[in-house]
Amino acid sequence: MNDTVEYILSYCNNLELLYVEDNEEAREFTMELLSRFFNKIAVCKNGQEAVELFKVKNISLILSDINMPKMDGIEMSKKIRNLNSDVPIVLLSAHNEYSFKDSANHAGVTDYLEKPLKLSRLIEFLTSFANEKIGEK
Amino acid sequence: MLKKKTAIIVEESKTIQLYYKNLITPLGYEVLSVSSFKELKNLLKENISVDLALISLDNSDNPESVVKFVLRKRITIILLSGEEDPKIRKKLVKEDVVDYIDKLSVSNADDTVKLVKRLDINQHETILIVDDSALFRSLISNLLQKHKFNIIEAEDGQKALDILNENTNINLIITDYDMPNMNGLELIKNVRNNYNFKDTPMIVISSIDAQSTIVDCMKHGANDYLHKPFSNGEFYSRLYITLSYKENLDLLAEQKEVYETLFYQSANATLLMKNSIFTDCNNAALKLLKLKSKSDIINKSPMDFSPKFQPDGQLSSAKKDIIVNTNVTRFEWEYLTLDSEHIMVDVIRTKFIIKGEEVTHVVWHDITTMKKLENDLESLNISLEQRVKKEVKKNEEQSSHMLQQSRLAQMGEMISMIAHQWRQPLASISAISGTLTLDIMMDQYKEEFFKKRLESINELSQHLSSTIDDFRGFFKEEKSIQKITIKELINSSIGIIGPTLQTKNIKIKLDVNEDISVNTYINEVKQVILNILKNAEDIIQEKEIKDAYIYISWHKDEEYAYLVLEDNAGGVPEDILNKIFEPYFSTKTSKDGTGLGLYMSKTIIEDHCKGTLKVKNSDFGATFTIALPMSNQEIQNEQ
Repeated sequence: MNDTVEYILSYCNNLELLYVEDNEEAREFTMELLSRFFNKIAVCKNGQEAVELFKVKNISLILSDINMPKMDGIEMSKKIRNLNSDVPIVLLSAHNEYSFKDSANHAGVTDYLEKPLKLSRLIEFLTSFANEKIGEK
Repeated sequence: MLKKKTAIIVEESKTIQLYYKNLITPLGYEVLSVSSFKELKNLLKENISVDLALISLDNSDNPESVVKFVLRKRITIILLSGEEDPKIRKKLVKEDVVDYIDKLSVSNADDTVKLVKRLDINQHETILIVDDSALFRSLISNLLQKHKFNIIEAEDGQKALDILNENTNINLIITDYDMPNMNGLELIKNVRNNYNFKDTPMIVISSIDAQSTIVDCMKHGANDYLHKPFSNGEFYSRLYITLSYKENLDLLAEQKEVYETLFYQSANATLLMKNSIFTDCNNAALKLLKLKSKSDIINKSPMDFSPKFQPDGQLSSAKKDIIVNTNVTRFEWEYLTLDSEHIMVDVIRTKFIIKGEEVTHVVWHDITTMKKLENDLESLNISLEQRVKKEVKKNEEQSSHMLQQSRLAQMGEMISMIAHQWRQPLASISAISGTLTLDIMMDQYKEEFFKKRLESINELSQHLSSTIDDFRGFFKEEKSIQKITIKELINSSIGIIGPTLQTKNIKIKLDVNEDISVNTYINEVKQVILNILKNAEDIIQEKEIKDAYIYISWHKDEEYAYLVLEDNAGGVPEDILNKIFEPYFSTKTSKDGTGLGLYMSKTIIEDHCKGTLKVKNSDFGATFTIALPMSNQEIQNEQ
């Protein structure tokens, strides 16, 4: 397990993550967890802000909530996908929110992570993300 | 109208004048009174027609002259006799006066009325006088004419028969016995053979020595006899006895006919019984039992026409014994007709004694149809009652079903609100747990940081717990009213739905005024507030309203505190504005619209909390106003 984390860290450490979440509390604690894997995290509280941040930063991965004021995760995905066809967009969603999946796939969402976020599932995801990154290299 | 007859009273005393006037006036007379001969003469000068004169013997001056004067005018006279010299009266009675009334007799009023009435009747009676002697005929004729009878005379029996053949309206025949051609006896026989005259009264007049002839005459139908010579008094007595005998006979026959008609022709079935056996009955009774003739029922017992059991389940024979033994006079009984049809009759029994024998008179009133209607009505009433009960039960079930549905829907909404409120703390706890696990894994354990984060988890748990408490209150049965301010009500409701609204970009604008206290069912009112806010949220989402808000304010008047909730979602279409409180009415396109939310809200506020819930459209959207009574007397009384 430690090796896996080390492995992820070796690849993710220098990449910048964009994390979008409207709830301040959840954002703070989730950021803390994500900061264990990423040195650089751009954070914002809705889709609109996320799109602006994405434009000015070199973002390698996007993790976003779905339900947010002003612009939700799906709308945001569409906009970002228009700007960039490669960057992985991962939506954090609760079990009962699968109804959005069709429109989300359409919007170019790459993957989904269940909310509340389980550590093992996060590690699993980041490992495959790292594998892909290595593949790219 | 018949012309009124005129009578004159000649009498000095005004009191007596008035007394006789009052007696005679009701008999159809106009009565004139005079106190003296002079007055009488003056009166009669006027050439008025007078039918009757009552002349007082002791109280008028010179009665003899008066009588003679009046007789000349051909006026019928009745003398009023008092304390005069009897000789005068005797003398005058022999004159052509009708009769005298003894003013001093206790029966004078009756006598007067009877006599005057008699004279009136006599004018319509015709008497046939049969005698070969013209002198005798005229003698009798005079006597009769004095009493105003109409007279027909015949010289012998044969002539009399000829007259009878032409005049059927002869009321009495007075005949001599010894006559040529046909004597009295032969006449009597012939008259009695003629159906029209078989009952016509006949008086035979004969000489005193013809005793045997009288017996023969009586045997063949004469009603009475007179021996020559006879006094006027005797003549009148015999005459009137005979006439009244016939009159009584006629009356009896008439009565018999009336009673027979009553019995036989009555529409009510009427029967006579002796010792529980029918002895007679009328046509209606035969018709009721569908019998052809009386012989079908006479000598039979009511039991022969009764079914074995009466409708109440009792044996007919046992029930009959009770009726007879306890002398029940009215009861209902079921009979069987000849063709075994069941009929219901109302029986009225009357017992009486005829010639020493007990006879029971029974009237049957057919109530079969009425009974049937009664039964139909009864069963109709029963089924109506059952139907009403059923409908009431159905309604109760429906409304309880509606309540259930609305509770379920509300619970569903609550759960989704809880889920929403819990999602973020759970996400936080989960993230912290991940961070800490990872730190341990990577040998990066820092005690201070761990303590801090465990504290965070604890706080988050407390938050989750208090959310549960908030919600749980809603599902508690609320038994009593409590005091709360409008602000508390709103804050508490916003505490529950607020986070959801926030996520959906719906702002809550509070117009903070001076707070108002109400006593009410707190959770129920909160449910209503939540329901209205949730509806606003749904409609805002559905219409994708930008800059959505819900404006909440409150105010009061003397009786009510008003809580106003206004959204900016455009309002309710006018054509359905008055329908939104109806059960099962929903505009929501999603399947969670039960159509019960506002119906239950109205029920809660108006029926339970004794307030009102109204809706109107403002410039921006729908405005709901909840009015809650500040004095909650009514509600408290219900407790």
